[in-house]
Amino acid sequence: MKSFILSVCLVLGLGIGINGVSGEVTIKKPPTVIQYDHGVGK
Amino acid sequence: MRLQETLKRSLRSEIEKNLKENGYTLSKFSELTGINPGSLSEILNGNPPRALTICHLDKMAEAFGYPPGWLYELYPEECLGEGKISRPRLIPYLVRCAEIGRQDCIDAAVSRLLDNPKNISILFTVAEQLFESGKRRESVPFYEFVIDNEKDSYSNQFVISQYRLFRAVEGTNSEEDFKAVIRFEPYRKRLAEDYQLDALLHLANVCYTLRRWKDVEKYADELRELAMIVYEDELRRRKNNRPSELPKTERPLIVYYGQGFLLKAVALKNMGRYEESKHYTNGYADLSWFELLDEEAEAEVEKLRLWALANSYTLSMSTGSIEVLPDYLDFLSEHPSEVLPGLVTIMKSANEFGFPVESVLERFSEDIKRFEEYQDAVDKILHLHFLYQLVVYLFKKGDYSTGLDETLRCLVLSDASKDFDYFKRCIGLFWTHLQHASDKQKKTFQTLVDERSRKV
Repeated sequence: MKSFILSVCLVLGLGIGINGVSGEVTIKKPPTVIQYDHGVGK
Repeated sequence: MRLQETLKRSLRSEIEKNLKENGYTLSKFSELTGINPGSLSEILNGNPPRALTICHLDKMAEAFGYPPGWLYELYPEECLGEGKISRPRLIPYLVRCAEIGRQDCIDAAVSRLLDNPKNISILFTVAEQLFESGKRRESVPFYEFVIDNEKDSYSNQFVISQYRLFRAVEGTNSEEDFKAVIRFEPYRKRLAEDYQLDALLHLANVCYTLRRWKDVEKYADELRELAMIVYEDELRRRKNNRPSELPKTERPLIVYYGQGFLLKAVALKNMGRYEESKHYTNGYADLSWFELLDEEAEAEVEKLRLWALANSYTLSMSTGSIEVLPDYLDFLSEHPSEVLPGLVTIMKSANEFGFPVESVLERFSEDIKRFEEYQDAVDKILHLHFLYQLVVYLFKKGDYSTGLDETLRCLVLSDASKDFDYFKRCIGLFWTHLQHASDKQKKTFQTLVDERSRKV
């Protein structure tokens, strides 16, 4: 159970990269190409 | 002159050296390279020697068994000699350097060219050739040279370079897209009409992907206005029997006009301004009144009509008016390419307004199975969004077992798509319903999470 919780905690820190030089924390944005509307971009 | 002779002999002496080492006669070499023997003789032995094109040099490299780029560092002297520039030789040379990644040669040539501001046009020509042949990434540094060195920010080559940079970067990722919009948009109105229509359409589309609705609205308004000006000008010319001056755009004029309405309508819908959105949707529902319609344009009018119909259904679903659902489903059945975005909308609406969709899922079960096979990046993201909404729906109705199975599928897909936002959401959903999970589901979840945590 402990290793399970630890894994979840590690994963919940997903997408956060740490710049080793400055210590700055950056959030990586996923690509956004979301089209629910018909005909956009076509 | 002596230095130039030395350098010329250096390029030619290397070729001569290789001819001797391989034991090739000119005749044999002509056969191997496909270069006319007379031309070959003039190139190697002429006095003065005939200029070597980069194409010749590439053929010689291949004949000697060298990779592309052989002797490229010596080539500038064929086209940059003593204050003279040979554009017909320099431009193909720079294009080839870009194609094969010889940045060293590009840097050396460019630093010599930029001694004279008039040479910026050469770099612009190289950039345009690369861009138009589909080598957008390779064209970027050359457009940047133009932008950094052209003093007149109203000059055609400066403005077009800004536009091309925007188009070259477009679709990379949200951060790069946003930066590209900010950099280019102040110059958009300096473009000629043909470029401006495409530019406004692409600006609006990029802002759509960034969910910047006010900007989508702004560019859509400009697009409609400009398209109408061009249209009315053309009608006046035809009425006065003057020759056509329709700008050479990438798409028929009706596309810019129609998309100006479509994008305005979807921006308004996404800002919650539903009545206004409906008004603009009606604006592109029937564009058959538009003159200047050839076969291609008529096909676009029909597509716009179908999208107006589909988006009117989407608008109704967004406001909870689900009485349109049967008609929307019939529409989706007739237009399979619209099923995926349609089902995302329907599932979102079902979750928001609490209506059942079992019959919908059953009706499109075969389509849903095929979603797994889609390779297009947009379709994969839409599939992910659909799965997520499905998971939410299943948990709301208490079908925990199926909900947890679909959560696991959603986790796999979000991991593959590197969509960490959705990955975290799925983790949260699984965690919330953990007490309903079977041992097998828990084990699968643990495995997925362990694999992901190893990649962090």
